[in-house]
Amino acid sequence: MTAAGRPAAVAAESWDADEAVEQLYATHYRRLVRLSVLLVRDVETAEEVVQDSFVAMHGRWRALREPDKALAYLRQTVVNRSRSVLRHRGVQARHAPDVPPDVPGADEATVARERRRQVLDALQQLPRRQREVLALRYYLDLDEAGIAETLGISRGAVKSHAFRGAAALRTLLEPS
Amino acid sequence: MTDRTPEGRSSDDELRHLLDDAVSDVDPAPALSAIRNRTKVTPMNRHRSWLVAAAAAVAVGAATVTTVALTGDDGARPDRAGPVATPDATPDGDGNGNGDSATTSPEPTESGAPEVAQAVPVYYVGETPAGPRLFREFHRMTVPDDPAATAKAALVEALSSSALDPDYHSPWAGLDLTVGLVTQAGDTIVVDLGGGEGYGGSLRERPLGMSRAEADMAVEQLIHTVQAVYQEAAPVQLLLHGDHIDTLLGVPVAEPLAAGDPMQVQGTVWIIDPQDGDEVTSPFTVEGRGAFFEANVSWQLLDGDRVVDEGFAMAEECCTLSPYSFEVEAAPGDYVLRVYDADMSGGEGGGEAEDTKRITVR
Repeated sequence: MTAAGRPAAVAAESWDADEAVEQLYATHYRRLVRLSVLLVRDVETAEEVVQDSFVAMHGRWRALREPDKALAYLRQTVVNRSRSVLRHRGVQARHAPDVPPDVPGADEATVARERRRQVLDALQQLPRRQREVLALRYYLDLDEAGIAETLGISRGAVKSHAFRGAAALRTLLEPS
Repeated sequence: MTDRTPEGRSSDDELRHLLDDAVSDVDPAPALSAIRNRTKVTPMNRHRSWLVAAAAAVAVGAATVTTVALTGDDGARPDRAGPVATPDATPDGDGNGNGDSATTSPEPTESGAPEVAQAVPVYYVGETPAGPRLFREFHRMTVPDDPAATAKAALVEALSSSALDPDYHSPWAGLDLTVGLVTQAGDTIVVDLGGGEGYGGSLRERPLGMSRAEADMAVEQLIHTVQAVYQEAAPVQLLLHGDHIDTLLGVPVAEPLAAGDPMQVQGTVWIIDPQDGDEVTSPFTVEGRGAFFEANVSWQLLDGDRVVDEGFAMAEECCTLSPYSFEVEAAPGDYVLRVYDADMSGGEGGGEAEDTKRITVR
């Protein structure tokens, strides 16, 4: 299972770095940006992170050669860079209100927006690893082995972060 | 994890739906052309400009590259400076050789990047119960605002014995190693080292009296410092006098090197802020990162041997390198702040991992 839930089908042996970027951009760019949003919250930052990751992948294409490897590399790079962005953003920004609190309106769109905001906020409150594991598991649908490889941690650790993260997220989202 | 919610959906499905929905309205702006622009070698390229062009040649093994004296280039070997080799990189040479001929003749850094004051990460070696390990400091330096020049400055600092914390040292002291050019070839950062003349032996061999662990840390110190400046876990290729070498201090370095597993090479308790010698006002926040038994961070504020204050804090995660912070209140004076991983084994562990900083509360 690749990140987008489907294998890259094209015979890619002959891709050069530019074609690889083009193909993977077409199939995975949006999904990777969304993954990064789950990790860093801010869309603009996420876009930057993913673009940087594509540039890095381009530079490494000769070593990667295969779409699956390239995708794994992209995934890992997006997670790592999202992490360092967070680190640099520091404490201040983390506490800054990013969205003005919605005035509860009746219409459905507002409700949906508010729900999304709550989920993203709750994710930001989780310890970093838990957030990463949840995003990879439930958003990208990666299996334990895939998550362990992406994050460079053991499968046991994946399991415990997933378990604790899911529980914590549920608690945070419970109507008080 | 497969328990059912009242709606009858498994909680896995529920989480899947929650996360999917949370970003369902994220539609990024088209970016392919922006990415394409950055994967071409053009002088506009922010981080990669001419460095890539120059480094491509190094990667191909020409190894005669070198280019220009960088600012503060005390370690450069003028005899190697010369015309830029034309990179005969293969057409897709790391994807950066496109448009090739690496036309952009390198510009001297002094004209390219303005000097700015920045906090530059520098790694040193400290003794821990587990043997020599890396510790990081941030040194305030005025350096050109480009990663290659900054990395070089950071390496020069790392090689010297200028750690703020007297508990840290550089394993390179006395070996007379110097730093030449730092360049980037694709994803690899190439560091050309030099010097060694003032040291009697060969830098390729492990010096008498240096432990294997210390030699490993010496090489890790270079890799970590460079990667920290670039803020990338890019592989680092070490050259000596422009040539590939099999070993440095007896440590294999023929291939580009990745940084070692942090749990194996870094100190398991770091105080990041304050740094040694800092002045703070009470109350102040201590920040660091470490691997603590049950995520339990122990700290003491010492005046000589006297414990003025002590406490506990929780790290974000247990047993792996993870951030912590806590607040300390103290009357004005000079203290030693100690953060440690309390030894629960009754002394079998060979001592408590710790980091200490001399601080002044004003």
